Amino acid sequence: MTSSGAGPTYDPAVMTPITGTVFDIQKFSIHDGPGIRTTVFFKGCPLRCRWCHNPESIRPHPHLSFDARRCIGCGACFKACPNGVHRLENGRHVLDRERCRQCGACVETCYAGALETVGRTMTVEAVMTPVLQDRSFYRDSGGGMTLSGGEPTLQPDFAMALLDAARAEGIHTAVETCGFCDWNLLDRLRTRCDLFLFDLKAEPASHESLTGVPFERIGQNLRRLHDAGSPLWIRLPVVPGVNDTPARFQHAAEIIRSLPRIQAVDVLAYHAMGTEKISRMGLDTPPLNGIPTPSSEQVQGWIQQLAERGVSARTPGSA
Amino acid sequence: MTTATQSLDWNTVRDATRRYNVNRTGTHDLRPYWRVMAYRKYAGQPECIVRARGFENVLAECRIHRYQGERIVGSRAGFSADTLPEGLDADGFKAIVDEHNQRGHRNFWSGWDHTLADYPTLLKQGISGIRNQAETSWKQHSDPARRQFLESVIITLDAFSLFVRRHADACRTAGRDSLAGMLDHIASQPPRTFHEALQLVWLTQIVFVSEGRYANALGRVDQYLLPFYHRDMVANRITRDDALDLLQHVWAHIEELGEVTNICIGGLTPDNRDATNELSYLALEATQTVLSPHTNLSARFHDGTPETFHRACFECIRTGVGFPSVFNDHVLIQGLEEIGTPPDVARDYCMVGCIETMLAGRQQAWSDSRFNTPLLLLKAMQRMRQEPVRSYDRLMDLFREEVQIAMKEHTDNFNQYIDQFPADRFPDPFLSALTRDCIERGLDINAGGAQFKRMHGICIMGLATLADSLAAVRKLVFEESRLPYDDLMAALDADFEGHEATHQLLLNRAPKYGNADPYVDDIAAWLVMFTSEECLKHTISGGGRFVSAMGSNVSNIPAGKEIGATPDGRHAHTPLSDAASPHFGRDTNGPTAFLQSVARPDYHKVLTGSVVNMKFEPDHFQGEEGARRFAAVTHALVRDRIQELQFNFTGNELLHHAKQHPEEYPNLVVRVSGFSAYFTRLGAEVQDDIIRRRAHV
Repeated sequence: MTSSGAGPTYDPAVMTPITGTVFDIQKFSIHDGPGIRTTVFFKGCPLRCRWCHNPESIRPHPHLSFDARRCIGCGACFKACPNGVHRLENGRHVLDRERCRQCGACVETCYAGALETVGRTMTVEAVMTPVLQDRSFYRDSGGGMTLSGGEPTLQPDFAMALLDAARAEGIHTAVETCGFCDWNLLDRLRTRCDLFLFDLKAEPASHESLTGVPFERIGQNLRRLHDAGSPLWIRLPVVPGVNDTPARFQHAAEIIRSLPRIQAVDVLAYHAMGTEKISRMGLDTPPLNGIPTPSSEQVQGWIQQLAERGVSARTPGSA
Repeated sequence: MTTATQSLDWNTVRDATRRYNVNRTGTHDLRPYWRVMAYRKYAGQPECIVRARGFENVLAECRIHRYQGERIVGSRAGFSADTLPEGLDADGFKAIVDEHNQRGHRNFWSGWDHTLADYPTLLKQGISGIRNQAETSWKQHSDPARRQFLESVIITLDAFSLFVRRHADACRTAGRDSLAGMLDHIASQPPRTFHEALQLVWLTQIVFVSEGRYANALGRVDQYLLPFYHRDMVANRITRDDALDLLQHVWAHIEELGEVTNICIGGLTPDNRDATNELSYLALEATQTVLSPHTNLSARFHDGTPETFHRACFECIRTGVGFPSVFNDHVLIQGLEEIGTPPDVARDYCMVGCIETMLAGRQQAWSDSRFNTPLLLLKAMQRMRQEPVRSYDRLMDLFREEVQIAMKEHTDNFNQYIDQFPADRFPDPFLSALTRDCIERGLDINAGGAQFKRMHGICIMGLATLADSLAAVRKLVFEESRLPYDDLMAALDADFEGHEATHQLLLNRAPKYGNADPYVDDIAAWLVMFTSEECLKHTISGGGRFVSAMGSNVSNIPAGKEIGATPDGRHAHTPLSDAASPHFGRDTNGPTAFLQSVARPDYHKVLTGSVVNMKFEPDHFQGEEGARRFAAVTHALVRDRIQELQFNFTGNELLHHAKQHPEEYPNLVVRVSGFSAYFTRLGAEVQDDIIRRRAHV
């Protein structure tokens, strides 16, 4: 055990009852690291990026999601709910989310799947079961398991236990992080992790207004991970008209050039997918409206801007 | 040696054959006319002689059609004409066609189409070598019937020879002297070169077409052509590019046939070594350059298949052409051996038609029929409605009984049908000449001449419809008691009208095949084994085996029309699940889970073969990284003993359709940005965006 391995470890024989909150486990995930991977999406995120494409990750606890398009109007949820969350208003199914106690009774009766609980509390073993199913695909394609989110460092014990469990099975591990956490959490994760996918979301001047947190700690953590020898891929979300300024590319390029052991740089082009999800989650975050998904020429233009600043970038999964 | 201009000519030929297929309507098929002329002339002679004369007259009278720039000759265009024979009006011609049809003809079911000649022997001995064998056999047999049969074989071989010579003459007239010289040689002698061997094979295929057979296969081209390729290479007569060019010319001609022409590559040799060779790769290259939908390439894989072959197959598949489909030697060979095929022969199997297993050049023609299994489940469910005590076990008993009754009826009907085609009234001399042991035995292919008896495939419809239905009944009705049996039946009777909650319950709260859920995957595995064993219990009249197919071609659509709603949540009269694939749209856990489910059944008794369709988004398989991902798929096939897989790479048209009909496509994965998502779960704007974006690419 290394000095930084102070966290709890996963021992199948003892069945340490570590649990975490996960909102999805996606198999055949191919943009979150090399090869065919299974990505475990953690719930909870310290950032509030205006372009967030996974708004279901933001809240730390399980909550109700309602997709009106799938509702068949059977009314079963009205009867099932003990708290009066669901009602009809002018023929429309509306939710009083304030009253919801997350009992799941309505979800159970919603056979059409319009109501879903986003997020579930899972044991390490419950997560590892589907992860292990695809082991031979990881081997044949050079893939593995990726922890993403949300932000895995918000559930550090759970994250460490999953990484240990995967490594015990010889599975390649990756962690995608926004880097906004105490260094000691990353320090504990890094010895269990074969690859970090580290996001640089904006330059310092606009970082706080765009993501809700300042950049300083993120920059420090990236440098420390690099200096500690952790394999790193940098991920650059780019939103047209928001963080595609020369200053932003200049800032990203300077950091990347100063960290010579960075293995790859992925440009993640904005997509409006999150705006529609926000209404399903009942979030009051103001979505970014009216931003078109960038064309491939635009994406190539960003890659070109980085190239002019001495950084070779790509789109994910295209290596 | 090829020249720069020559190497482009396959393209011209392919474009011309494509046009031919488009413009074919309005021409008259003259083959019945030429046959009837011979039938009349030789009336009174033994049937095999009369039929052989009919065969002969078609090959003697047809027009020899040539395409500009072709290096391989042989076309079906000369079997029809824009004008009727002189002195015949439309009524007169129709009377002759009627006279022809009155004589009767073998068809797909009675053993005619889906054939495959013994090309290794033909290429080794040439037409005259086989003719000599027939003469020798004639001398050895004294039975007049056998002698007549052998005489009819000789008539067809002589007619074939003359047909080849007519091509030589046509080439000479056109100034293609070297081609003419080759054709003159192979009109009697065994081919000497790769080019000659391919030419002889192609003209044989055209002769099969002259007889009205379709879906004839080329078989293991990379095996029987290899000695010629090696010899030419050693003698410096051919280059790799030249060999590729010749294959491209043949592939371009296959486009003219406009029908499924199976070509088999890779796999094991009869002595259990890896059979993959340079020609296997050239066949892939020809397929991905000619891009005809009719060159139905089948790639055989085994544990020792080289990585480079996995990779080369992927390069072809990712063009979107859909070929090759990939097969697992270990599964198919085990099954063939189990029904008594010697190991060396079993290892030499290939496919005819789409996926049907065949012992090339040793067996009667293939046939198959469809068996509506979900209909039988509904029958069993209706029966249980009348019973006081209901249980899942009881339902299974009733279902088994229904399958057994229907299978007996199905095979009895088939046997009665083919009994109407006795070999003496429906002789088949030419295919007999090219099928092992017919000449030695002096017996027609359908009279005990062929080395191995036929197989008839029974296509078990709707595997996933059945598995999903049984899982839903078991779980929701009997295990969880969530849904009373009578309510289920009422909902099915009403096609879920007024029972939408029950419909959603069936759709969303019972496991579905294709998601790596053992609950339902084990039911599918049981269904595959049970129905296959039921097929094998019956034998074909005159010898041969009924064998199951987990394939449906497109018959899952008409079969679905025949039946009402099913407990898997499928609406009445909509298609059943396709072949051995999970019901389209219900495999929502991605391709790895899909593969784990389809690996669950043991397919080795499924001797016709199975079809598992996988759809992929091409963007997921770009570059080196994409190739590595795809290798994991073909490795899963081999390792997990999946029998067959085939791949669709989706395009924009499908995305448009998916947007309009999202309920049909909930599992369509698309690349959105730095991540992927299920297409139909995206908002409409996003969908439009992706469609637009893809249209530019």
